[in-house]
Amino acid sequence: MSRIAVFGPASELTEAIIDCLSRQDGQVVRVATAAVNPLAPANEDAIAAAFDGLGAITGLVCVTLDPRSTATGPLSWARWTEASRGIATIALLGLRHGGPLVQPGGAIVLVAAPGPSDPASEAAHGILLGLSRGASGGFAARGIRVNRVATDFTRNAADQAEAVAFLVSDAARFVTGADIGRGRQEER
Amino acid sequence: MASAATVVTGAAGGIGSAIAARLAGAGRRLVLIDRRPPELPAGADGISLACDIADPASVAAAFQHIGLRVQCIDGLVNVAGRNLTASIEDMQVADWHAMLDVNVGGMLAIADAVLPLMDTAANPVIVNMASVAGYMASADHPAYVATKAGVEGLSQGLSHLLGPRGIRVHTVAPGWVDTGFTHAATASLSAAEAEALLSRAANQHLLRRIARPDEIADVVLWLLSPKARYLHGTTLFVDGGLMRVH
Repeated sequence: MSRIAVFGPASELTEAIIDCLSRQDGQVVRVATAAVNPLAPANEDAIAAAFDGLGAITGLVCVTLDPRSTATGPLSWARWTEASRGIATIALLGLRHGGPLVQPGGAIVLVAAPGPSDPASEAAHGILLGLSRGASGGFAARGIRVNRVATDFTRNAADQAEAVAFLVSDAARFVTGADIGRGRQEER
Repeated sequence: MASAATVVTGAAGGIGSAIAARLAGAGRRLVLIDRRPPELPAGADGISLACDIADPASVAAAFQHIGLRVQCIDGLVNVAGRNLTASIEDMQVADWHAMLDVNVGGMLAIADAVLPLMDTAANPVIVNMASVAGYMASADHPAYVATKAGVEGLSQGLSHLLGPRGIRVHTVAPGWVDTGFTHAATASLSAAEAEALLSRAANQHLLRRIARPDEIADVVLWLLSPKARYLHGTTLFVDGGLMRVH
């Protein structure tokens, strides 16, 4: 019986993933969306508390979001900070605090909600990809898979969610360190 | 007016200093940056200065100084990077952010600072140093893997932003290179263990040896040259075939 935690800020993608997983057998647990403010991801204690008492899970989905503000230039340090923390640090904290709850044979998926396409964001998406590749090594020792979904292959949130649901499912049991999607976001 | 200059970050390190030496040998004017002022190669024309690339105030101060001495920059080689040995569980968030800000954010900050000086360059090029490590699973160095994959993402974003301005952007991804950085990664091992590790690493490359820094530098020099004038937004693996066996 699967038990999958979905961690991340409120977004259309988060809801689509929960909806998609809920139509399958097993339990879906939403992890404290309110604790995950992408503009303040350094609030690690709140994130740790959100996972407290969750118990064993078979899957973990970390949804991240680039909280682009309009006040910053595309190459500014403020832009870099918000994109990198919103996408990469949230994912790291999800892995740190949710990862230990995933049981052997389970799976983790990192995914970034559709967002802007500028160098800071592209870099943060690259870090998310690299984090899934890098972390797949440590988690493999515990029999846990780690993969990434880039949402650029479709604009349909339900279809993006299907890719996430596939990677946490048993059908992807020999897939780890991989990614679906190319990573470049369409500017919208 | 003086000729255009090429900026190299991490110019005190193994790869950075080899690139500086090759550029000097090609008669290019240099702006060398590192945490401490790097040594200019013998006979080289240029300046050398200290800068923390992950500190916007330090970058601003450095480029205020550079702007007084240099009117045009035709090349940026972003080499500066650091390593972090820590599992996901043991990593401190402050250390993770330092990795992000030096290995990726610093490249973006230096590119931003250089751009106003690139407008008049005849052949403006940015080369960002990634690594084959950006493709590897690693229990001990996930932050290094993450940030090196991030460099490719940054280059992708910059290539879209700057291509229309005629600025070419490249990523170079070395495999193992014989530098202090590589040897520091084996510092916790005994001499015999380190030698065994480096020997195994050498045998993982199709060319059966790890790279010398000048072999990375030669590729960078070519990418900066007009001979590579239609190459843009690509990642060039300078890895002796390492990616072909993984």
